[in-house]
Amino acid sequence: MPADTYQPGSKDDFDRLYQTAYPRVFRTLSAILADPEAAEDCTQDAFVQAFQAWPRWRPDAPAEAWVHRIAVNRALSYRRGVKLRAVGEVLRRLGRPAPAKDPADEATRPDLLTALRGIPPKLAAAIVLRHYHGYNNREIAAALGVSERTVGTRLHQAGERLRTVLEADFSLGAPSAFPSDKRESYAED
Amino acid sequence: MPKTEDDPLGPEFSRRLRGELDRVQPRFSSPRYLAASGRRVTWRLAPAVLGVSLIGILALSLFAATGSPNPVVWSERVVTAIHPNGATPTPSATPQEHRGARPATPSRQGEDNSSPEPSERPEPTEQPEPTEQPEPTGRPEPAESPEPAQSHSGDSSQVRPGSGSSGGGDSGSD
Repeated sequence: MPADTYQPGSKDDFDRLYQTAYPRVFRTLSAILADPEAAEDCTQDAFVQAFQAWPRWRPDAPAEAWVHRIAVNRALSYRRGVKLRAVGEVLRRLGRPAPAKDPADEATRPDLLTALRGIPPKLAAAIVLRHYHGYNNREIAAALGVSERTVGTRLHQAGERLRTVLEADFSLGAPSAFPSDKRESYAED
Repeated sequence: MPKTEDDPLGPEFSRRLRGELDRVQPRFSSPRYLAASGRRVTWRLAPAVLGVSLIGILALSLFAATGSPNPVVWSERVVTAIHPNGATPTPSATPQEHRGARPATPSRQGEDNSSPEPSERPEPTEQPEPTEQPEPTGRPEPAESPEPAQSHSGDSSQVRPGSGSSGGGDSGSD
């Protein structure tokens, strides 16, 4: 993460940060949120907030970790409101048939991401930041706003939960034969 | 799969997670922060616009009240409206005190001296006429009254009859 190449308040630098970090932040939120549109909305909202606070950003923390922190918090807020929105959605669709599911989408849906969405989002975020983005504990702590000790605890808890869930269905190395359909089912935060 | 204490899921999990997340491609969408920046500038200018509007409304109302576009006239009008009497000594004084204190103020006395009343002042100086009316010489009563208090004024008249009677006595004795 080129943290020292960004100047706080520079719009050109923020444009560069957006081009670099937007796909990575979007994938992080995709591992937390089941709905890709929600992940995109939260990612965009996170960059809006980051742009408004960009003049106050301090280069002592990596810029991408800083945006990750905003985005994860935004995703947590979104997930807290999912239950209320789900009730409204059920009432709105009352009496109508459920939308047809795309078989191709179901066939390509990764079950590892489904398992990630089944654990608490703070644990899932720590897993993605470590195993996908390659952050170390200090960078994860900066991205999540917690101490490094808390990061170690979360990584351990997330590993235990994922191993329990994944080994119950299939081995970690085998592809999924029966992708589950838990599109909007989240674990407790 | 080698699994360590620090990485209980092993490298296979990282490889598989990387492969699945790389398949997730974000849709192309324009950055929202570019649109939000315009609204942000608008809200940042809102206080200045509000202040300029208030000043403009105030200036128009003052222009309508005074009929003059000169701000100096506005300030004079405001001062006149706030202080209609410039001679009030203290703003804390009650109206009763003002009424009682007004005749004693030196400024009012100065106004009286400068007024054309001095032409009426000579009236008391011309009044000795009434004092001259009760002349003791013109009145016979003080001369005839036997009061001793008026003996000073009638000494000359009393001396004359006395001197006359004494002279008559002499002639009578003759």
